[in-house]
Amino acid sequence: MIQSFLFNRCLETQKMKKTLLYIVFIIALALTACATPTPAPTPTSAPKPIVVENAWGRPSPAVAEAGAIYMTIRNTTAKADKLTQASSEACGMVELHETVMQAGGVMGMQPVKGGVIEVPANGSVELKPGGFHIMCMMKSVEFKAGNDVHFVLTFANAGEITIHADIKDQ
Amino acid sequence: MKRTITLAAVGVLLGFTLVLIAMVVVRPSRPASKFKSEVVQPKELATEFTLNSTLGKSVSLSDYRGKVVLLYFGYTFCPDVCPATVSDIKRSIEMLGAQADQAQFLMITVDPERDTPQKFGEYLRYFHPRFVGLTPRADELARVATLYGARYYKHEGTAATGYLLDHSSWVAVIDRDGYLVLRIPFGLKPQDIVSDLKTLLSQ
Repeated sequence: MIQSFLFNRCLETQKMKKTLLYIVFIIALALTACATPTPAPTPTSAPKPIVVENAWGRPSPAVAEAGAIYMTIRNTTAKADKLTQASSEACGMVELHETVMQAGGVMGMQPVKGGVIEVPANGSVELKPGGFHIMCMMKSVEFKAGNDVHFVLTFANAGEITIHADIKDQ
Repeated sequence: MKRTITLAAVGVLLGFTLVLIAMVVVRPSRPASKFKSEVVQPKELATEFTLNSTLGKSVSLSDYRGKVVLLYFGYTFCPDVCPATVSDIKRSIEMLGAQADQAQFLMITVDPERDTPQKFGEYLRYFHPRFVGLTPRADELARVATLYGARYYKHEGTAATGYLLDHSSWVAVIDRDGYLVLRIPFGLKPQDIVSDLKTLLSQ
């Protein structure tokens, strides 16, 4: 009865229709909450200042002495940060590089300007093919699809962060 | 009378200007290309070359007449652009299915100093067992690169990288009759590359 009354009333205007949808959504949500066993409480640890997402690299044979690692670095703080260096047991040496497209489709690679990758405050920076990448050199192992490679990234403010880069075809 | 002439002159000038503007703004649209890659126009007979290869013998372009050849200039100490390109080409060729053996990928190293046939072969076979690497001498490389309009420059890297090479990022495509017809730009998606290959194979 009440539902049908509400329904008729709400149909009067578009705005009301939205309200109805909203109510239905809330009820559905409440029902779901009732049906689910007590959800695990969300951990209350301090938010991470730097979050690294989708770290990955391409499979490459042991004979390839260099491999690039890509990722998105998100800065959750209101203060700009910068990636200053990276290291990994899989690489004899790691540098921060970028690929630059020049005239006529010529592409070249160089160490990043200033030696750091800036991560803007409340923003993010993307390391991707044809742009910034973490350059793993003196690599003596195969980067095998399905494996992951650990890297320690050092940020000026956030300090050291360990990441796992998935080895996969894009 | 004088005024009429002036007016007429102004009118004619105005007309010309409008026509000129129209010609620039509303350019006749070129017929849409059936290719996603950059089309080499006019198509030219790809120059023959014979170079040392990762197959343990010399390889000539004409050995692959009847197949579509994808020719790329790169090197193994190139972690970003080259693996991206080689892996996209591999995926494209695999997407050809039954026609896959009708396409041949040839990669010419722009770093013959460091890319020995053995190392280069191991590198390429990792991507695809049928990929062939060409390891020219420095003078042969310069000649073939010039013939195909490819460029490469050596520059200083860091202590760890040693020298680095900037190089053309496209892949040249030679059709079954031996004509250089397309250049695949860096970053073209495999589904677009395979569409171009299929078009060439159906001709």
